[in-house]
Amino acid sequence: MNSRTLLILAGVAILAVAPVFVYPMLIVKLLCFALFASAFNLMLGYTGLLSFGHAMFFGIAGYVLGLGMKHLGWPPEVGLLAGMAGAALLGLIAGAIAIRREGIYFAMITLAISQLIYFIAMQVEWTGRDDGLHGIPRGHLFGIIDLSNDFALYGLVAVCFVLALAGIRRIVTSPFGQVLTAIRENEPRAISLGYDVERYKVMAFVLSAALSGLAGGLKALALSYESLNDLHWSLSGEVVMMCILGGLGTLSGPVVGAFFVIVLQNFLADKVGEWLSVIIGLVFLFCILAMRKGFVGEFTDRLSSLRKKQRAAS
Amino acid sequence: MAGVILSLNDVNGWYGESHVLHGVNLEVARGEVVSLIGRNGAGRTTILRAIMGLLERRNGRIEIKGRDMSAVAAHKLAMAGLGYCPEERGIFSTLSCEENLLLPPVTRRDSGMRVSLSEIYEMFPNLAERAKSPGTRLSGGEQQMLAIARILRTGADILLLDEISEGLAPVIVQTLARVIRELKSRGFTIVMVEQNFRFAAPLADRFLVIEHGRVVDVVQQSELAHRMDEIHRFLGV
Amino acid sequence: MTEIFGVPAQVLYGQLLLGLVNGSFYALLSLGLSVIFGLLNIVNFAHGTMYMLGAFLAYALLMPLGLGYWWAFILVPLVAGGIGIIIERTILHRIYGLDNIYGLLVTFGLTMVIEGLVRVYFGVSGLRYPVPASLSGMLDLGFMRLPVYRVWVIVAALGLCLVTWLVIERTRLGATLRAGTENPKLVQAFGVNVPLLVTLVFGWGVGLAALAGVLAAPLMQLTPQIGHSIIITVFGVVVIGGMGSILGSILSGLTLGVLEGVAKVYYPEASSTVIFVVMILVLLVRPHGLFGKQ
Repeated sequence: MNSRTLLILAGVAILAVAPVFVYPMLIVKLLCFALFASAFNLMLGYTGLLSFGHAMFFGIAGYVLGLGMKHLGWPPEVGLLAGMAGAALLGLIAGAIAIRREGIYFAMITLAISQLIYFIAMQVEWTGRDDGLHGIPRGHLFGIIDLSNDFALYGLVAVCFVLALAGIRRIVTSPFGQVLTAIRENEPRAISLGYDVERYKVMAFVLSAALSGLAGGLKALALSYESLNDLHWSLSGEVVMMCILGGLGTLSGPVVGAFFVIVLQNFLADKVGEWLSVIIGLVFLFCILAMRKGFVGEFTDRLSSLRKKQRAAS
Repeated sequence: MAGVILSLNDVNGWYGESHVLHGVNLEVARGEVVSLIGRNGAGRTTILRAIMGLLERRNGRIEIKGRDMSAVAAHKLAMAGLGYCPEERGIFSTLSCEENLLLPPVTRRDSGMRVSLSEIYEMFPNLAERAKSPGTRLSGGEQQMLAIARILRTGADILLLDEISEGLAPVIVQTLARVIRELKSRGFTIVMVEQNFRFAAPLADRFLVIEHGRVVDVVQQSELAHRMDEIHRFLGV
Repeated sequence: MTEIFGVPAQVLYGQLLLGLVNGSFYALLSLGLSVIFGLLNIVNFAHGTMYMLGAFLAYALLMPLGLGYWWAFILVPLVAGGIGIIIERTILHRIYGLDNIYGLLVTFGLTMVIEGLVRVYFGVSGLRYPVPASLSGMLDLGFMRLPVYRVWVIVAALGLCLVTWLVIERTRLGATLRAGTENPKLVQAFGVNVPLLVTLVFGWGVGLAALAGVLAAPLMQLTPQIGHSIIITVFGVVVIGGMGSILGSILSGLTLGVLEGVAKVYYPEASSTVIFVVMILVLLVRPHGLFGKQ
């Protein structure tokens, strides 16, 4: 049994017992954002495309789930799947529009599309506009499990999180994932090798959107409401930050980054008030300028150079 | 060598990870015309770029007029009297012909080599005609004239010319040869990279043979006649 | 009372004026953003923040120091420009060789820091900056009455745009800038201190944004959010006009401001989305913007 499997088992174990020690709703929030960041990482870390509009997938799924469960009486599993489908559809449309452009233009188109969605949502009545959508029921999972029990909900979120992360890992290590990495590292070469690069990018975008939608749906379910904040570009910016802080192109990086930002926001907010964004901004700047691999990236680098030294010494 | 105006001492150069110059040693005397000859990819253009501080990474010693310029910032090299005509000519498309001409600042007012704008328009009447045209709308030959004219205006006395005859009609090439001879008679020091050996042969005082990023041989103008075959074979002509 | 497409003329003209005012700000801000992008290859996310900072600096000059509008007009751009120079020298300097994206991310980080600092020192509730006495009152044109200050804003903004355009297109400094945008290494080989030029241009761009903030200060409630809302619109304008194109920025900015104004009259729900729809359409058809190069 190698160290990676050990770490994964340890992680799952911690997840299993954590709600006994820590307020489960806090961990739920952490997990949702960690999932969101991991989904986003598929685009930025693995395919090398910066989307500045990912909040639209997160928010749209939340609204779809919320409206479906509140007004149409959907059970939570249908709500989640519908949310994911909605986000994936939006991803397909946005991807089709944006994918032809590169780098900065891609980022800007995704920003523009997400702003469009934001402003539409702000006008439309059934989103509740500024007030948001309240009173989303927790429902009964599969008709049996009562999710109004916080621990049950936690269980659902934890399981989704683990499955989704495992899914991302599968995607990344699969031949499909390897093509994505090839596109990120040397797109012209990937094209010359005969890959329909645009199709791969759109597929990655749709997958990323769907998983972001899963995160958004889970969060709406957990907090029982959805608001315009979840469609705002500042959330898109936050998720970019989480990935960069944690480390792009690693599986645990976005999770670490998300944890860092959410914990900071929750625990420092009372004590430092408005200084919060100054602090986070400064840490972010520091990361980009000095630690471009993010926490996890730098950590694994140090670790492997330490190991090299040990091996050389022995 | 007396009156050395430019010297390179053990200069190595890299493009990223690629080691392209392997210890270049050369000296150029004031008023000399030196031609760097060699096969494609030998490193001739790279040597000029190294002198102009355009290489990503370079070490070794570069002296201009007796001063060590190895560590000097790129924009200060022009101040030492260097004028550079890059291989791509580097005419700016967003500037008119006259704006292109006036772009490089006058760096050596006192060198006595400065060619005034009116003199330039006398030497190159085409440029006067096309003064307001966008730079890249000029013909290849006119663009080359422009590239040379603009560095003459700055007062540079050491000219680094990269493939100036490339892609030009024979008539224009002849005009260029006349220009080079004129400049030489005025005392300019010229280092030229020329693929067209027939163009360079009558103009240069010395030929530095470049291979694998270093100077492997020196041929004087006087030796040219009886070494011509050897050179042609070497260049693969 | 005349009606145009079912709307009273007065109302339409009023909105058109507002549209022109907004358009002037879009033009001014996208101009700076465009020039910075052209020369530094950085999309300055912090541009909106500098606009907001300009407004707050004007307030800060007025409240404790009693220095009025005209003082602000001169001092604020200088201070902001100085801040811009420091930012360029210490932070932006380090990311030049890297991908475009880093510029966007770094300036995004700067936005968080600067906005946070403004929130710390000025609080989150809105502050009011008075219209200067010399520019208050109304202008009576017969068929409509215009607030003097708004006319001033349009005149000043367009004047600044014109001066900028003249400098860039008609002077040697402008030629050096344009050449530096095309091939900075070659321009450096000619003896121009390009790094210094870059620093000064960034300082200028930021100073211009701050000046726009001063112009805007009497027109709205000053909150740290005002940078946020405008930067996304300005991005849209710059992309539509073409990144790096001066003329594109100015024309697109004005046009979009007016379009927004007209939309508010006839189809209010669309007014905030108009720009994004136009942006997506333009990008699909002309990927480098209407006036973009390459």
